[in-house]
Amino acid sequence: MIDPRLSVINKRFSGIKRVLVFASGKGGVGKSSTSVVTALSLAEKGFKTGLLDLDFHGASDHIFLGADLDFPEESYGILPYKSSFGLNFMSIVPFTGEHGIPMRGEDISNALIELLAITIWNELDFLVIDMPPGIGDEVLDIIRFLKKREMIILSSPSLVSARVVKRLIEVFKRLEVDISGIVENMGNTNHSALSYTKDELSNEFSIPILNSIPRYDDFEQAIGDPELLLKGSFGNQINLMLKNIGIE
Amino acid sequence: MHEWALAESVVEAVKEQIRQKDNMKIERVILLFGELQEINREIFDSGLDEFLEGCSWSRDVFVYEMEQAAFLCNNCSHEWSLPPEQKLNEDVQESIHFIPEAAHAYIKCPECGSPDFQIKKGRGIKIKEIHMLEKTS
Repeated sequence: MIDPRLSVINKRFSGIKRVLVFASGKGGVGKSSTSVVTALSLAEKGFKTGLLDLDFHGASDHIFLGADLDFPEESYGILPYKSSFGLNFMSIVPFTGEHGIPMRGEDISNALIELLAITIWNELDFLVIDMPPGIGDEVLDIIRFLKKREMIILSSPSLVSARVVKRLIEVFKRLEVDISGIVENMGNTNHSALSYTKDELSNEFSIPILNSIPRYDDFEQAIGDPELLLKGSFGNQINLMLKNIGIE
Repeated sequence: MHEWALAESVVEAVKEQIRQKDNMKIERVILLFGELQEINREIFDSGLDEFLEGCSWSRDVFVYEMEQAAFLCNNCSHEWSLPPEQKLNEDVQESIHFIPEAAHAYIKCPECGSPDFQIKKGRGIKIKEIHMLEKTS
């Protein structure tokens, strides 16, 4: 038995110059906020940009974007939604609504493969992929199917986060996955001595820290408003992160 | 029209299989259509015609078989299929048509009511068999 969908995935991604994948060991470290604001920033700079939310169990990128998603337009496949600044966006939410989807194993992979096979991105300068936390099916499938990707890991300045992220990095090393950098999120400069990101992660694995982003209490108010997300302090920090991977 | 993306995937997959076999030609391809996804055959066929342009083989080589949907409840081990009288509303059917695993948002085990189930069979499209023949000179 052959799954024909696997034969078109490379084709779907052939027009995409760079794929930035945001992963993390634990949830709640700001992976989705970082993914969304990164994508918005790239789009606002004039790059043709896509954003793919592959966190099926915790899909939230549409909430950050303030997007009300109906069924997608169809043309040779499904077309991503046009969000602010011309950002092209795709998620599982148009098909599941705000219902939880208790999926395991093969069903997760099948949903991911379907989205990769039928979404028509066309030509993009960047595709940002928001992954779920951990080292589960979705992360392993993206490593398997997308050879040309840049993995960026999110962590927070806590021993717990650093230790869990360490395991993620070790698995990536075993899978020969190159890691472009680490972003430390929700840093608290008053307790910078407690940040384990530098010692346990960056120095040990020789991975650059792309930015250490402070916690911003006013970030919550910007959720749902792409302009606000971009223009606030968090947006400025994301631009700094992008600069550190050669994007201005 | 998203059937065209699936038609394209089928054509690419068959091309992959025949790529290294210059002395062979496609005789027959058996496709399994999963009941759950409700692929529109007419739209799929038009997609096949589009992506087969330039190929030495045509849509005539394709044989379609239907695979019934089958679910297994992880909670109580009940197995079930889609009864003909089960009516899902149009929007739900459309959601499942795009991504069959969206069923987890809408379908429950008829025995225990759990949404924790597996889709064992009949989700979408698969290539069951590809038969090739040696080219005659």
